[in-house]
Amino acid sequence: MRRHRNVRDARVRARPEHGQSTVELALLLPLLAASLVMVVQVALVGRDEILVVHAARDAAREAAVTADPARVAAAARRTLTGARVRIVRRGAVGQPVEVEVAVHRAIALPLLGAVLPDITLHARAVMRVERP
Amino acid sequence: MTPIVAAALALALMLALALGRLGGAVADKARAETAADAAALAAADALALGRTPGEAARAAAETAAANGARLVVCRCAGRDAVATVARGAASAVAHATVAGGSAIRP
Repeated sequence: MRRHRNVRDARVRARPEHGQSTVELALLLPLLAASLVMVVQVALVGRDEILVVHAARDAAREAAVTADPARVAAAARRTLTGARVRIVRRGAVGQPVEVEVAVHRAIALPLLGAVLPDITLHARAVMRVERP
Repeated sequence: MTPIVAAALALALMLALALGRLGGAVADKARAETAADAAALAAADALALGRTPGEAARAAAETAAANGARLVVCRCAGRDAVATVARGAASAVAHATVAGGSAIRP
């Protein structure tokens, strides 16, 4: 028992930096957590970037057979909730119809989210107007 | 412990970059699919209106270009339109058909 404590005391005296790594980890842990949240955020933006393209296609397909903006917007929102739809131009039958879909996303990072600007993702699609 | 934290941060950064590239590639593919879809439907619609295969191919090419893509080939004749388009590094094929006087996707 006596001998054991001597060994321990000697080890503590030989390492004055004892406990430093724990303090360092405690300081860096928020940074580590923030970087993981960033990875998730990139994945979410990537997902929305893909969905906004699909939403624009679905909106354009609807716009090819109807002139009703509400139905066009509904088609886009079935694919991507919160999508804003604008019919850029719509010609007669056989002419092109162009739609633009945009979705607004706030960066959901703690602290950094307040500093970073919100992003808006856009997609456009053009289709030929068909007879309704 | 610091080297481990540094390695974890580097890993997270690489993962974020890889995810960003993957998302961009899938989005490019989706844009190519949109262009192919629109081109095939335009060609089928032209065929449904009784236009010639040449006119159908021109409608497909115009629609592909309007979507930022290039029509590679259009096998557009009779009741079927199969359009292949390229957009950057991505390419896509879509098939549309004429049914009941209008263009549909089977």
